[in-house]
This record gives sequence, structure tokens and C-alpha cells, in this order.
Amino acid sequence: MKSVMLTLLLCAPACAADDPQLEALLRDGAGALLAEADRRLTNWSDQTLTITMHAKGPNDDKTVKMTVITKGTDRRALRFDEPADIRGMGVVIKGTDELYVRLPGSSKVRRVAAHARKQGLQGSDWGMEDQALIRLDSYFVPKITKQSATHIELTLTRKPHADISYPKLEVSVARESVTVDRIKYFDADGKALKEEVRKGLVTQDGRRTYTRVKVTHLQHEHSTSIEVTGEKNDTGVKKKTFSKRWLVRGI
Amino acid sequence: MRVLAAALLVFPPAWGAEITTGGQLDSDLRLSLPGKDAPPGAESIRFLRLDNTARAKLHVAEGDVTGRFDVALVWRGLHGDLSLDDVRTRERSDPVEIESDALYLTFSDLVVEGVELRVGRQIVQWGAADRFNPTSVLNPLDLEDPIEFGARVPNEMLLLSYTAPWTVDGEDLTLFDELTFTAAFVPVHRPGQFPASAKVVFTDPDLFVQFVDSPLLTSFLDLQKAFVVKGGQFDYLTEIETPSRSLDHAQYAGRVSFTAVGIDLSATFFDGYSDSLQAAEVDADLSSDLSVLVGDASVCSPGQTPDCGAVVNGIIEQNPDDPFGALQGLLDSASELNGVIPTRVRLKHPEVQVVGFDATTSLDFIDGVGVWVEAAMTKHEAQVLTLRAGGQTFEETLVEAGSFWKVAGGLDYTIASWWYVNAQFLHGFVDEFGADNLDDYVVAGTDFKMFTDQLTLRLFGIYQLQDASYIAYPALMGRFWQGAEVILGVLYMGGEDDSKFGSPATGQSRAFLEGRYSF
Repeated sequence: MKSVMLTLLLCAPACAADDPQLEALLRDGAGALLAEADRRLTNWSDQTLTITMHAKGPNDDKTVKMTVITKGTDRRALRFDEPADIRGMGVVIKGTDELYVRLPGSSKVRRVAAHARKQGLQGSDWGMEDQALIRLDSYFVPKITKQSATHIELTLTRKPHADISYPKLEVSVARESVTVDRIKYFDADGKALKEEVRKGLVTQDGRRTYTRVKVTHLQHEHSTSIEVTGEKNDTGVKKKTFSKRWLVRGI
Repeated sequence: MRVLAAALLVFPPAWGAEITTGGQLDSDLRLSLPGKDAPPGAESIRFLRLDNTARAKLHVAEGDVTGRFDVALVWRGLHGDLSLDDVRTRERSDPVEIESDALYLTFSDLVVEGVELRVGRQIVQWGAADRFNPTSVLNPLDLEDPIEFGARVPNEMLLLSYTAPWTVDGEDLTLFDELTFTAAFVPVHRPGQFPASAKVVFTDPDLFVQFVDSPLLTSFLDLQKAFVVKGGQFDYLTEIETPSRSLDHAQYAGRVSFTAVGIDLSATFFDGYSDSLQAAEVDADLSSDLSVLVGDASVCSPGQTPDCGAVVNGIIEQNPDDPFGALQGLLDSASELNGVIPTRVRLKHPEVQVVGFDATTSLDFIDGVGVWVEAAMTKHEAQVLTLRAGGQTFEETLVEAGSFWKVAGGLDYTIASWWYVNAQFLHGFVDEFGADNLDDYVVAGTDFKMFTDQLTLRLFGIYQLQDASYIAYPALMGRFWQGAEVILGVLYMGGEDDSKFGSPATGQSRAFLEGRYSF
């Protein structure tokens, strides 16, 4: 009895049942697995998240509140609510190349060229470029490298013409949910830049969302925690939301 | 009770309205730097600004109707000359000003989806270039603060726009999107804000000739200088003629913009008044006041025959090609003078029609470099200077009727997440007017972000290609606290005394320290 209990206790976090579709997905290959993992976290036509982002470093402790609206796989709009000095700032992303920014205190919307994706997002470890990474399979070719009791490890290699700076990602797909819950980002020299760990998976109306994400910069002592404080899916967000006009209206 | 009911009918409570409030406290200290001449009578190192500002912002939204209000109370900190009466009242010894950049309502999807009407006090900025936008002509420039390059003065206007719901997406980029037509109506022209140093331009003969290309005026100003050297004085009254409130003087603008094959494009049209101030009239009563000079030169004496005024007029009439040069001969033989010649200078905003275009895109084949071009052609009537002196009226064309192009083109690039660069070429600076008066500039800057964007070192400069004058604008911006920022910087202007940025007309170089907290 004691050994059964011990097995259960040890196994409880790690030996959860695999998703029923996992075996079939593995048979179809890494591409099918990544596509399904992407689909499960983007299983909506539009999504509106209210996010609190906490950036922390040795001399840095800031909180940013914002609303992130996503439609399909290539349109995203961000509106900053806190802190007050960036309240009203908005960003619209269309595909990988079109980026528009409205700065707080200005009525002017500026087209920002693709180079700006290298910049950070309000001092966080979450870059502008990461905003375009709505589906990983749009940019990367996956390969299964390892399997454990809880995860399937994939190495993602950038597609030849993909417009993203990361040549390689290492991704963990949870067997239980078939969703990506860890991403390691690499630069062109093969150096690991940062690690993203996702927790707090919730399922609402068949749609899955990670509610707590932590991005840790591996080159210097800095991390960003992201907490989803509100979520709305399929509310009929119109395409015109992702426009310069939406930014001009602002708050 | 009845009154309350009536009030509720007229102003029903906006229970469903989403209200966003905010504010900002700002303290701004400026100190002049040596290197350029201070205005007459002023110390070379002195406080130029000591502003403390409290700003409140309100945004109200309910459905398709939104409203925005912004108001600031600015305690100037520095006061002008005071009398004993002035120190009895706070408004003179501790001046406060109210400013508002926005008070407008927006009605979206008005009758037809995509139609938007915005009425009220607002700033509308057009153009793709960075800060220097020749197509952005609806709001005049706010040049009062040289550190705020490209700031605009709000104006009351009506803006009607329609965005067509047509989008054609390509595989990698948007083929066509956001076709928007905008019409603007500005009932009353509002003049731009000018720095304190601007007044010197029209009251200092040496500076006046730098900015007004007129042989006649130059000759007249030489006479002024000679008069001043001999101890005489000119009493200047500078007036600005603003367009009347007649509907005939209302301003109109139109714009069409869209995105095509990944390029943002727009074309604009404007019929109204230029930001630029042109000298329209100089009126100096030489005939009566140079009589002092003439009398002293023993040509005549006041009250005697021939009348001194008549002598002056006679000299002017007999020398139509160089009337003021002829009068200088008298000045040269004169001894100490003490006469005062009242001189009225009238300035006006020229009436213009402007057509322009701008384009901006991302050059993905060179790592997403940003590139933009913006150009505007201004058509104007002849700018004629009327100079009245000694009972005679002279006219000289300062700027021939015609047109001129102002152009801004540049590129920017993020080298690394912490390093951003920006460079731009300008043909025609913001205050330049007329085809023969446009110069060329290179504007360049870089941002170095440190400590995860908490500290930014900005190095920014402008170089005038013709006269080699320049502005250097280094600044250190610290954002170590939530919602707060401290900026320490220098605006240094260098060049010859008669150059664009070396001239005293652009004011003194300055160091500044600004603290800002938003809530």
C-alpha cells in the first residue's frame, strides 16, 4: 500500500494521461504535432486578453498593463493602459512587416519599419518581434528530438524565407494537453537568448490559454512575468481594429 | 426639481460611458549657455525657463462617440519687469497660463460604417517624415520651445473622413488597405507660436536683413544703424496681420491615403495661410524725426524755411534709386543725436495653396530599414514689402509669385535592441519661404538604450549644408521609476553670427533639466 501511494505521489505531476490524439499526431510527424499545438492555443477567430506584465531585474521593477487583441494568425493590436506615461500608446501589427505605433500624447500614427521588431516591448523581455509569433509553424520547421514522460521536445529551425530573427527554437509540447509550455530562443551564434515558460493552462469553451508566462533572459539577470487577467474569445473583433484609424481614435 | 428634470433631459447622465482620466506633473528648468550673444541687456548665463505644469486628461467613450479633453496649468516661474503695482497681484509676479491641446468629440461610423466626424479643438498631424513634415499644414508650428521640434498649436476644426472597407491581402504583405478620404475645414486661422528671440529679428537691423531679402530694406536698415550709432533711436512696433474671421478666410484641406503593396501613401491639398511670417510693411516717419538730424547738419532748422521735413523728403525724392543712402550722407556729418523715429513693422501670414505627398515603407531586402519621403509644393502670391519713409512710399517684391518645394526624406534602422539610428535630409526648414530662400539640412540622431530601456542616451543634430551652422542636441533620459522620467540635456547652436543657427535670432544655446510624472 505504501509503495502504491508513493508511486501515485511521485507520478501525480508527471504521469498524467497523454492527450488521446497524441499518438496519432506523433505518427504523422513533428509537423502535425506542432500544427496541432499551435491550433490548440489559437483555436479562436479572435481573442482579447487583458495582461499584466511585470519586468524585474537587479535595478528594475515595473508593471505594465495592456490589452492584446488578436485576429487570425497575422493581426495583433496592443493598447497600453498602465503605467500612465504610456497610457494610450498603441501598436498594430499586420503580418510580419507592417507595424504601426501611436505614441502617448500624440495624435500621429507612425509606420514603423520591420527593423523595429528587434526592440524590446517597454523594457520587458518580450520583444516586438515576439508579437508576430502567433503560430510557430508559420515560421519554423519542427523536428522531434526527445520524448519524456511528460513532454515531447522539438527543435524548430527557421524556414528559408521566414521573416523572424531567431534561427532556432527549442520547444516543449506537454503530452497531456498537446500545447507548447516552454520555448527557448536562440540567436544566430547558437547562443540561448531567453526562455519562456508557460503555466496555468485554462480551458474555456474548448479553447486553451496559458494564464501565467515567464520569460527569463539568459544573458543577463532579467525576467518578465505575464499574467492574463481577462480573456474574451470570438467576440467578433472587426478587421478594422487592426488599422491606423483604430490607433488614431486611441483612448 | 423641475430644473433638475430639465437638466437631466438636456444632459442625461452618461451611465454607460467609459471614462479614462489621467494627468501629468512636469517641472522644466532651462539655463542659457555662453557661446552666442544674449539679447541686449541680458546676462549671457541666465534662467530661460522655470515652468511647472499640471496637466489633466479626460477621455470619454460611449459606443461610437468619444470625447477628449486636455488642459494644463503652467506656472511660468519667471516674471517680466515689475512695477510696485505689479507686486500687489500674483498674476504679474507669479504668472500662470492655461493651455489646452485637445477638446473634441469624435462620432464614428456616422450613418455609414467607416465615416468619422471629429469636431473641436485638435491637432492633426499628417506626413511620413520624422518631425519635419512639409505636408502637415493644418495646425501651425509651435516654435516657442526649440526643444520641442515639430510641436503643433491646436486649432478648432472639423474633420470628416471615410475609410473604405476594402482590403486585399497578399501572401506576405498587404496589397491594398485603408483607403481613407479626409476633408478638413478650419474656420479661423491661428498663428503659430514663436520663440522670444523672434522679436529681435524684426527690431534689430542686423538681424532683419538676414531674414528679409530686400536691397531697399537693407539700405533703410543701414540708415537706421547709422542713426543709432549717432545716438538716435528707433521705436519699433511690430504687428501681425491675421486673416479676418470672414468665411472667405477659412482654410480647407483634403487628404487621400492608402496602403499599396506594403507602401503607405498619401496625397494632400491645402488652401489657407502659411505658418511663415513675412514682412509686409515697414512704416517709418523719417520726415519729421530726421529733422533733428537735418537741423544738426546745418541744412535747416526746425520751424525755419526750408522746412526740415521737406528737406528730408526732397533728398528722398531726388534719389529714388538709393534714397536712404543719400540720407546717410547727412548722418555722417551729424554730431550727437537724440531723436526717436517710430517704426511700425507689419507682418503677415502669406496666403498659400499646398499640394503634397508622402510615402513610407520597410525595406525588407535590407533587414527592414525604414524609409520615407515627403514633399509639398507651396503656391503663393508675390510677397511685396511696402516701405513708407519721408512721406514717400516704396514697394519691393521680396518673394516673386510662384511656387516652391519642401522635401524631407530619410531612413531609420534598429542596429540592436539597444541601438537605434535615424537620418533625414531636408530641403527647406520649417521657417523658410520662397524658392530662393530654401536651404538644405541633414538631421541625424541615435538612441542608445541602457539598463533594459531605463536609461536612453540620445544624440541628435542638425547641420545646415550652405552655411555650416548646426544644432547639437544630446540628452540623457532616465525612466527608472514607474510613470516617471528625468531628462537632462543641452541644445547647443553653433555657426557664424549671420548663419541659420548661429544667428542670435534663434536664441541662446541652453541646458535643460526636466522631471515628469504621469498618473
